[in-house]
Amino acid sequence: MDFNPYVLMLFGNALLTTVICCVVVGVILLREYRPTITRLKRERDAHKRG
Amino acid sequence: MNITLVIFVTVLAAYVLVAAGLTRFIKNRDDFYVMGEQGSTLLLTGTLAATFLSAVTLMGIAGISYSEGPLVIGALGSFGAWLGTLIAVVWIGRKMKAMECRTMMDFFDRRFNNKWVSVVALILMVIGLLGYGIIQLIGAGLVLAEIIDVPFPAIIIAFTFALMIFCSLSGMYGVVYTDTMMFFTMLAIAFVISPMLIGQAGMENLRGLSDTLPGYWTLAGADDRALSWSISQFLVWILFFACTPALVSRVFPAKNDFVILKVAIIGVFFAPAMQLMVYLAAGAMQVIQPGIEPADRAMIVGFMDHTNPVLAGVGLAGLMASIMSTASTLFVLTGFALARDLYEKLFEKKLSEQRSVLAGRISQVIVSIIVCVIAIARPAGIYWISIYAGSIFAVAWLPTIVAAMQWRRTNAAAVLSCMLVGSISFILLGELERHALIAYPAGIDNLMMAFALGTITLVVMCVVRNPSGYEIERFEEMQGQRMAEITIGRFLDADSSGATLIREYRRVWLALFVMLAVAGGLWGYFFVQLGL
Repeated sequence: MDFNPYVLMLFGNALLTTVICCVVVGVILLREYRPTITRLKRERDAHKRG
Repeated sequence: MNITLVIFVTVLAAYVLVAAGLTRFIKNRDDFYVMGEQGSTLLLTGTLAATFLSAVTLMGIAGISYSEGPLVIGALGSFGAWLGTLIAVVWIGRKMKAMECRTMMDFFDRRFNNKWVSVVALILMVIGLLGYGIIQLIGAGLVLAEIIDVPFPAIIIAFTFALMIFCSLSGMYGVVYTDTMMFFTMLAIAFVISPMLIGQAGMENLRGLSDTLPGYWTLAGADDRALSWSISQFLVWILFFACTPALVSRVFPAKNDFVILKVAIIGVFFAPAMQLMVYLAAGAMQVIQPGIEPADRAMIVGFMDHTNPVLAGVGLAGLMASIMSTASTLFVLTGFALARDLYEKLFEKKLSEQRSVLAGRISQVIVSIIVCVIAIARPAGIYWISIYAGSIFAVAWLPTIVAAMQWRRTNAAAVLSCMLVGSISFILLGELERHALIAYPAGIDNLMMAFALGTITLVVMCVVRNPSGYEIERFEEMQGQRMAEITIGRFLDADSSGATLIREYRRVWLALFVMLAVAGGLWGYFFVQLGL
């Protein structure tokens, strides 16, 4: 396919900025919040069943 | 009375009225300095994006995009600024917020407890903020004076008076709320006026600019700039934006960590979104009206001559917003530095909550008067300072902050040496080149060399000198201060079932996926239109 690599770089970098940001935030959510969230969900489920 | 003057007066009056109304929220120093840590996602996204988009984007870089092509700065230089903003928010700002810093100076004070470190960091910050802010105010004020047909001193007095009112009456509340109002006028420029100009030019004609101006759609641009220049721009912007107090301090008023994470996702999306739309519109102006001189008026000509009167007014309000949002943040932080960091902490004044707010307000008035006098007098010295002001944070602060956060051996002597070597060598090497006494190889500039010299000095001093007991203690304490733990604790204290925490956690994921889809759609569309 014929395309302008410089234009791809311009919009690719704009997209990459959001992607990097989302990856960083996603890692923070998974590493720092998910264990607590999982525990809380488990406790709530156990409470409902009990 | 001409219509542009009516818009100018109305917009300023609206900001002042809003700020005056916010005065009732100021009950103590936390309200004044960090709006009582009640900043929502909307407000902090607004203030971050508005501070990011300065008159430099709407005039200077838009001018380069108009005459040389949107990729010249947009593809690498701006990319550095976007990544720098991300680092400022997600890493540096978030870490400092976890340490309960109210200003960036709090970080140096708490981490080292050394007067010399605090004094040098404070001087660099005041020079950096004022030098960068005043020169932008002068440049944009001159253009605005011409458009509105009002004498330049009157524009500056009106601007600084408005800034004084909303900075001194409502402190960070005033700045954040007015920034958010300004953000919406900037959004109108990016997503209403710019698409309109692009539409007038037509995508085919926009693509075809490379036929009349060879290189227009390349990294080198129509002026065939060297690749090393683009790389140097990338480094300058990423290093500068990563630790500039104007961006890092946007995080301090956040309500909790979820707000910071959502601001990172949404605010960092708006940085390229607003900038690239303006750059493309500037390119469109090359199709619509070639030969605009000076080129940095391209967007202003676009608002005033190629849209309807309502949008021309919105464009003018957006230009004013780009000047005022950046200036208000820079000046409010300078006022905070004088009142809180210099008067209260360095002079060890114990003030009550009320007196502390009063000191903050007085310092805002002093800063406004100083800014007004310097901007109107335009002494030669301010132009000289502005060459180095903005980038001083990159060479003097960034290595020290990174080391202080990550390296146990970082000590006051190393930080002090790095700040002095970085800033002095930056100015010295810059002056040698400016006076043609020395020439650097292509792609190397004084900022890179000063950054390297400062960092080497820091590393050497950290290796040869041991940190004090206090510094080790603070470092270990800092390692244990995490925004996530603080936020989880606060949410569970308020709602032990965890339902609110789980809901907020899901909202961040939702924001993340929505912004990924929006970014993919927006940039994909433009690539298909202009790149294929």
